[in-house]
Formats: sequence, C-alpha cells, structure tokens
Amino acid sequence: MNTFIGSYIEKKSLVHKLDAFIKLICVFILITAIIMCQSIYSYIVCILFLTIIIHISHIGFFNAMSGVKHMWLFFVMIFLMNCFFFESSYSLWNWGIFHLSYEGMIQGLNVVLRVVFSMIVGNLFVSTTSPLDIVGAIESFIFALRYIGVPIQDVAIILGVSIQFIPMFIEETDMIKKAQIARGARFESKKLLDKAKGIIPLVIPVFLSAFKKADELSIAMEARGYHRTRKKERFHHRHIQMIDISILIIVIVFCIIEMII
Amino acid sequence: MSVKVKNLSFQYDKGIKVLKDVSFEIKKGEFVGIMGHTGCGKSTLIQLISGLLTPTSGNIYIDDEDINHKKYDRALLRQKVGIVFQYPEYQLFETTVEKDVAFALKNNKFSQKEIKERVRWALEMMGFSYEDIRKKSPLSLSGGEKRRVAIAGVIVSQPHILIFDEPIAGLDPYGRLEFLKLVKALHQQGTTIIMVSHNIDILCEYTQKMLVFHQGQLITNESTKDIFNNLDFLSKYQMETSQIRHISQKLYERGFIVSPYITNYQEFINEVKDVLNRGQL
Repeated sequence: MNTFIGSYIEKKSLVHKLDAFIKLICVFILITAIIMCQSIYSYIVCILFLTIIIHISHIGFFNAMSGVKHMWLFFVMIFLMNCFFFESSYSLWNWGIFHLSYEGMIQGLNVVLRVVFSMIVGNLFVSTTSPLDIVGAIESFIFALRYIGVPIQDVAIILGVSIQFIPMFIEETDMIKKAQIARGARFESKKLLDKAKGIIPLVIPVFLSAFKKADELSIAMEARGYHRTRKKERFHHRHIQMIDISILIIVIVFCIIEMII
Repeated sequence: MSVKVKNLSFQYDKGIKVLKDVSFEIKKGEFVGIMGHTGCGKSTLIQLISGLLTPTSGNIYIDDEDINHKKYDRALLRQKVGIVFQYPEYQLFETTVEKDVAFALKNNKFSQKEIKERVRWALEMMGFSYEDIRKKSPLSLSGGEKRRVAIAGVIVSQPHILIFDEPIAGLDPYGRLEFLKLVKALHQQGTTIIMVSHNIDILCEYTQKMLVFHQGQLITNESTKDIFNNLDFLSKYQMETSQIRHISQKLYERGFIVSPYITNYQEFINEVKDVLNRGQL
C-alpha cells in the first residue's frame, strides 16, 4: 500500500544486489561529492548521475523523492535565511538587520540543493537495502571502533531497530490520527492554538505504544537468545565481488570529477 | 440514518485499486456484517463511510446527503458516524477515564452538564460504575477495561451509525460475550451497526445482512442466513460457514433434525427443542 520514507522496496536491480557495506561507503562518498558541488556544471553532472542511479534501481522517481515534498517549508526557510543574513560586502537591499545579497541567494540555493540531493541518496540507500543488511553494513562500518572500547554490536542493533521501526510508527500514527479525527479531534484546524492542543491526543498514544513495542521487542529478542555480552555470529559474511568494487570506483571517480569542476 | 453507497471506487496514490465500483444500501437500524479475506478493501470501505478517506470516484450518502460534498458539515458527520478501530485502546490519552470519554463532546462544545450526563450514560452502557471508574487513569486499567473505555469514548456522542473494525480481536471469551451484549443493546436502542469481522459464528449470531467482499468487489449483499446456507458460493471464494451450520448438516444427514439450513445458535436450540418435544430422539 502506501510507501513511506525509510521503507524497503523489494525489486531486482543492480543497486539492490550491491553489497550493503559498499553501498554505505558509496552513500558517504556521494554525499561528500554533493557537498563539493559549486558550479552549475557540477550540479548538472550530479543530477545526471543521480538520475542514472534512480533509473537502474527501479524504485521509481516518486519513491526516490519521497519526503522531499513534505519539507518544502524547511527549504524555503533555509533559502530565505541565507538570502537575508549572509555576510556579504555588497548587498542589493538593506532593511534593519536584513541584507539581501546576491551571494546569499547563491548560498541559499546551494544549501537547499545539497540537502535535497542528500535526501535522495539517503532514500535510495534505505529503499534498496533491507533493514537486516543495513544493520550488517553499519556493524561492519563501525567495526573499527571496537578497538577503542565502543560496544559496536549494541550500537548497530540500536540503529537497525530504529530504522526498522520508522515505517511502523508512521503507519500507527496515521491510524491513531484517524481514530481521534473520528472522535472529533481537529487536526485540520488552521489556528495555531488548536493545532498545538490537537497534538496531545496524537503524541501520547504514539509514545505509549512505542514504549510498549520496545518492551515487547526486547522480551522477544531475549526469548530468542539475544544477549548483549555474547558475540553475535553473522549469518552472512561479506562477499565483496568485482561488481561491488567497480561500482565503488565509479562513485569515487564521480566524486573526483565533482571536486574538479 | 441510512447509508447509501453508489459506484464507489478507491485507489491509493500508487495506483492499487482497493475498491472497485461498489454500490449498496444500509437502512436505518440494521445490523450489518462485512466479511472478506485480508486486503479485500473492508477497512478502506469503513474509513470511506466515516469520511476519513475521500473516494476516487462515486458517492456516499448518509441520510441522503453526500458526505463528500464541499458544503457538507464534517463535524456533523463525526457525530453521526462513530467508528471503533481495531485495538481502540491505543487511542486513550487523557489522565482520567472521565476526561478521555468526554473528548469527543468537548470537541463539539457541549455544555458541562450535558457532558457529565452523557459520559455517565456511555460508561454505564459499557458496564462500568460511573463513580468508581471516572477518576481512574485509563492506563491503570486491564486490557478489556481499556477497550470498553475506548468504546465508551466513541458511543458518547451517540452516533446513529456505529462501525466496528474487528472489535473482538484479542478479547477473552467472557469479554467477547460481554462486548457483544453491549453491541446488541445499542442496536436495540436504534443504532445502525456495521461490523467487520472474521468470526463467522459471531456474524451469524448477530447480523441480519452481510456485505461480502472479494478483491475490492462486493460479491454479495444478502441476508446473513441466505449467505451462510449457500455453501457452493462460500467454497468458491474459500470462505467457511458457521459451526452451527456444519453441526445441523451432520444431524440432518443422520435424520435427527428436519432441516440443515440452520446457521445460528438460537434457531438451532429451537429446532432441537422441537425435535425433543415431538419425541423423535
């Protein structure tokens, strides 16, 4: 039915088949590349590259963009703040503390585009990688931290479980919201005070059920033999293949191109 | 207080058609059951009737008024149609039972006096003693009690149409019986009841009419008795008939009773009494 941010979409594609650990590294490299974007050309290359990935991942443009639409207000705010508060030697227009500047506008646009592109990369990762693989990837990633005494398996399981819980909570929030609307709650109200009051009947049940679910999950995990101190055996060891390596190289090359132009 | 649905279709954004061209009518005071396999569109249908979703095409009329018309007063709809979701206990949020039950009334700006009267009525209807329960925290109650409080929170606005989505899931046999008694009492007070359930025996026992769905289509809309006696039809859609119907079939085959077409408990008892009186056993 509805697909939400953070939910895995099962398809057969190159992106899905890619090793989760390599994919996670790719995500970091891509985000680095996105942050490096400066010129118009680098953005064009970036858009092209992302379009190609979305295309071969078969998840559809709409899913890749999910969540971006809901954040439009955030983007507008970021843009405006950059426009008016950017420290610039030359401003087009002044009013009190506001200084509209050309550089500010460019900066605002930069920030907005970078956030949007990063969100797309994030969406691509979570919708092409099953939650279990994500946990595995993160675990491998923070493996190194183990030597300085970080309880890596705990951290990995916390992250993994949180990611898994997101779609479920969205669904549950939706259901509780409907139940309260049916009881006459006015979430649709435009008035700020009503809106603030309206949030209580929604937040309290969701929190309660979150605690309950967490409790149940911990019992279920213990019942199935999960124990924090015991070393967890992995079902799958990483089999990094040629294809993974080549994709990684392509992504690194892309990042270097982005840095140059 | 009638519900009329005309050529109703619904699909989610991603293009999956959940309901296809559904039309039916529910008259005032009827007790209607809705049945179908998981994913057949039952839950979507009841959310459409209660105005929580907007149809892709088609109309829903409640008391001959189109509920999706621009000028239709949604607040009025919320009072007319009450919906009890699966696991309604999750919707409790207030600090006391009394406040939680009064939530719907406060939203509709009733007077203090009326709120108090109605809350008392709803809680007593659900089998509580008003004075004992009102100051308790909903979270301190047991699962069954929580559910009854949640249902009280829905019936408190005295809806003319009351919709239940799988209301007995997770209740113990006694809680189930108690709950059904309450539903029956509400029905006798003139409330139109729509109940979605997988429990065939309960549907046979309580409903007069059934809407049966299969893959988003309404496949039959007849009396409960007719549907559960039509074994060929049921098996075609991998559905079952009631236990009582099975038992009476067996008894009929062995010549104990006159007719196998008995679907509910009360009829069965009457039939057996008849047979005993005639001294055939």
